[in-house]
Amino acid sequence: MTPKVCLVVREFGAFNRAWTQILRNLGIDYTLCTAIGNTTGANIQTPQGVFAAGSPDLRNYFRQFDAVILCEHSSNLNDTSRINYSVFWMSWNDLEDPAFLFFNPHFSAAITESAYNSNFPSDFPIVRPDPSDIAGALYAADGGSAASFSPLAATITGGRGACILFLAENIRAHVMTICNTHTDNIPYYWRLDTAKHSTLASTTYTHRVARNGRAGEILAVPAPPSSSEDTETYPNDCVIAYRYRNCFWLPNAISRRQDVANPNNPFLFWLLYGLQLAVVRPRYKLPVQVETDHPLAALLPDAPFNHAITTQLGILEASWDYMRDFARHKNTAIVNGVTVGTKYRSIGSRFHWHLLYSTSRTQAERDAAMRVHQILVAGHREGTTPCGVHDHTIGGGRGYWAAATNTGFVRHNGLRYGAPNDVPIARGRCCVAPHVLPAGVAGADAQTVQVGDTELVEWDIPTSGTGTTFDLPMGSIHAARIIIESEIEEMLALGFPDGYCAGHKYTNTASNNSGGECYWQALKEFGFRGVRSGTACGAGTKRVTPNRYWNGFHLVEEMPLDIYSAVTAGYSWGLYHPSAPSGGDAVRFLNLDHSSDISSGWTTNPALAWRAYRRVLCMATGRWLGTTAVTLGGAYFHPIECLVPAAPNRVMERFDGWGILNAANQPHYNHVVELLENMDAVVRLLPEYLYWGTITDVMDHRERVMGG
Amino acid sequence: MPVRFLKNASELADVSWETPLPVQVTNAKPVPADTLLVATTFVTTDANRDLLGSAATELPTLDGCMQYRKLVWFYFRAGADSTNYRVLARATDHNGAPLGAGWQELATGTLPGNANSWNRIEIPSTGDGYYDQYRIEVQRTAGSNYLLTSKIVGVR
Amino acid sequence: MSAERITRREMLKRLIVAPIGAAVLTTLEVRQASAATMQPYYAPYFVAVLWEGRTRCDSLWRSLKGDVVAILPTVQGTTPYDRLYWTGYALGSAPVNVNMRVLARAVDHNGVPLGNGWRAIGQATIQTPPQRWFRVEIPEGHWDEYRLEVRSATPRLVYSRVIASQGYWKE
Repeated sequence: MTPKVCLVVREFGAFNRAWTQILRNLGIDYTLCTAIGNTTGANIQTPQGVFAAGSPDLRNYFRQFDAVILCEHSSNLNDTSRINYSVFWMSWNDLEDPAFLFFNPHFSAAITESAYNSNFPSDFPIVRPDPSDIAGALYAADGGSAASFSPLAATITGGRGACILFLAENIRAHVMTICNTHTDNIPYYWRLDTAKHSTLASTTYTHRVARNGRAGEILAVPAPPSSSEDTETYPNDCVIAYRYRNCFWLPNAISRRQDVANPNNPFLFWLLYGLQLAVVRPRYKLPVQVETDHPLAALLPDAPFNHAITTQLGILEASWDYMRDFARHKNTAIVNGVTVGTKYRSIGSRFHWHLLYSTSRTQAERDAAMRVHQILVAGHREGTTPCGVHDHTIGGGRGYWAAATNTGFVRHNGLRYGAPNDVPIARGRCCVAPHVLPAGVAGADAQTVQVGDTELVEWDIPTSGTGTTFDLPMGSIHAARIIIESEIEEMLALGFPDGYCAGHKYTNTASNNSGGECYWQALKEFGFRGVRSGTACGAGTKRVTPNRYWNGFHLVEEMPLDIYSAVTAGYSWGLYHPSAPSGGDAVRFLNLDHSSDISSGWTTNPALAWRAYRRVLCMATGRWLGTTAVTLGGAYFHPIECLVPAAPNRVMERFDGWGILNAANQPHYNHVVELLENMDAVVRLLPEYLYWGTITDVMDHRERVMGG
Repeated sequence: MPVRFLKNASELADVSWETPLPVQVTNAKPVPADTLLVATTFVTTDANRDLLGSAATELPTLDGCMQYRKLVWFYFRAGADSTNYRVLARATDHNGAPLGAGWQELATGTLPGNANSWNRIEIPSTGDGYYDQYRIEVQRTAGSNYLLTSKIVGVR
Repeated sequence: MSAERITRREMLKRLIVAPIGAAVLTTLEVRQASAATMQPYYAPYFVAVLWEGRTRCDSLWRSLKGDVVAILPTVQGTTPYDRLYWTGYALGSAPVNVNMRVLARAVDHNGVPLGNGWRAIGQATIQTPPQRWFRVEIPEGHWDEYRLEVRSATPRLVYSRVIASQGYWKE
């Protein structure tokens, strides 16, 4: 079966290209049509011709598609027309008609156009929103507080929270959900007309998307609270997603804006779910995977938790045990960037080698670190927690080519580029292409160097001498080779069999700096297939090209899932903490404190902990899905920095509001277990679209869909 | 006297409509143009801001462009507000390190086009390019911020 | 050959061609007759035929392919070409006045136009005695898609082809 959908757009000047990028990544064919106007009289431009919105010609045209997707929505219930032309389609319910997917549809009672109202199906069971009586037609969601911007404008921050119960699947998941919004910047859910629904639910209806054989089906509702502490409940007639015959009424999927394809689309779960409901079978499923940076690290025992290093390492040990087990059961691999460098280049007290072997650490600390390390090594060998190099000891702490010169660089011993070998450290004074090099001109130290397609003969090359310490200019393949070999040497000394995540031949880079062509070339020489990279990938003089694929080498875009600011805080103070510094708690770092509806009542209203929990989880999951579905990138987080808010004696327990407290007497929250379990719920909800995979699957898929 | 040529290595043929003189360049084929960038820029009054939104003046917008004779910058601008643009370029060594600090300014001027218009700028406007890195900056000088959607194609 | 049970929807998908802005990952072969054709890849010459066929001109602005759907291009995948040439032959018994205009736009890597509308490259009137040849050179190249439209006060047929050339080539 060829999956094919039709996207109906009002105008390309306000089109979010995440729609098309996601479909392309899934291998779903699509055709774009535009509506010339918003009213029922608007014609639809299609490749077959210009058709009236209610015409048999358009209906016949639509019948070649599995689904017709309406890409327009409104953020103002007072709009008198936005998608009025689509009203006719709600009555196109025959077997041969496609599924119609409406996301955050505008069907407000403020629409006065008589052709719209007369054609609107009288048995449609969702109450039409009414801006003059919002409370009578909609339910305010997520605490009912206003954001300072439209809730639809959430990108990688600023989201709303929701826990949704999917009825047929009987699965609860936190996914960012907004059914409708208004100029008051409050998110709303719909209200069901239960009598009309009851009629539809007892009317037989045959269509390939009517999985229960009835004309009406409630697909999702707000999940009832799992704790008596959580007071955010909704009436029984509150509905999130509904199927009316072959029309799916779904929450916002992709926000309307003129934008290129990027991962700033936290609502896209609903697009995947809608496509799956419409029985659109994609050619490809998308691999879901996650990475960590600094799998073994420790923080200073600072406020508010004041965790001793052994306590922190105990939290890590329990969490890694869980992650390794999770990866084994789900057949995924959690790839990790190990902080190498401190075997030779000590820059702090919180790095991998240092924690294991430094004599300035106590025996208890070293033992605790070793227990974590053993999990990582065993997991690397079995494929659950593969590890790779990740060096914060160079480039001023910011990784590959993050400085013009690395002063006082200390290299390894032995191998090919280590002491006492006298090796090149910068390009030669002269570099000439071999085919135009006259005979006898090159110096005695001439050697041929290749970077990408460029091969040059270099001579008068600065070298390291036989010592271990020297200033190393970072901008050449010679520097890259020395640095990378020293990192791999440390991985081998740590007990890993390689430095590139075993069969994946990948690592994530410190500060997402992949260096540039000479580093990519050197990494290829050492056997790497790809690395994670920011677009600005070095000292501010390098930019990764948009296709992010260099001579067969992958540059995978980054997406942080951290819940704290690395710049202003350094670690997380939890979901929320009244005394946290700027960027210290998840709620304020991710801009989730709408109208101060968490901060202002935190100490008096325990239900707000659940509100914070929902929002944080929806925001992180939205980011993760954004990079999974749009940019095929690498989502990652820093374990210990995100895990210190976990209660050290109940590390792996699920969030229970104020029922379990951490060392700061705030709600215990383990970001790892919550994030992974929630994403697992999403993967179980979308078996046709997602699967737990690995970074190799991601790179394979990038090669599949990113070419030409 | 008709022009003749050796066809199939053994047969003499007159040049005619059915047997044209074989002047095709052997093994030649057109090389496709490459899409290098698609970006949406919010054009503001901030100085030194490139199409990707960065104000770091040493950071290129495009890297690895040595093989392109010229770039063609297509854009759709949503607003007509007066905007200046600047195209900078420089070469790097084979390791990717710029030969020095700063940039060569290739072009500067007022960004052409009205509101909701399509426009096109060749880089460089005359002659050949073959620079390794380009930095393309836009800065609004009057009116209100607007969205600029750009595509840059590299032509070999 | 094995029998494949096919639904009507699947049959329709295979018959209907020329999507706009589509990422059709398995494309259907299109015959080169007088039907519209794309030129996604390049023959071993530096000149490529993008389209040839017959257009019935009337008082509406019609693409050379005959449609009045303003968002549809006449030719796609034209990024590599420096310039386009439209050459043709207009029929009609009276002196021929055919209005023509050339529109162009760029699309992203998924085929979606960057914005609304088109860039108007030029508009002109072709005036020839009947049964004569014409040639229009379109010097602004490297756009991804062009829409060539014609219109005439008195209905007539225009036979034409659009070719494109690339200034450089390499081995």
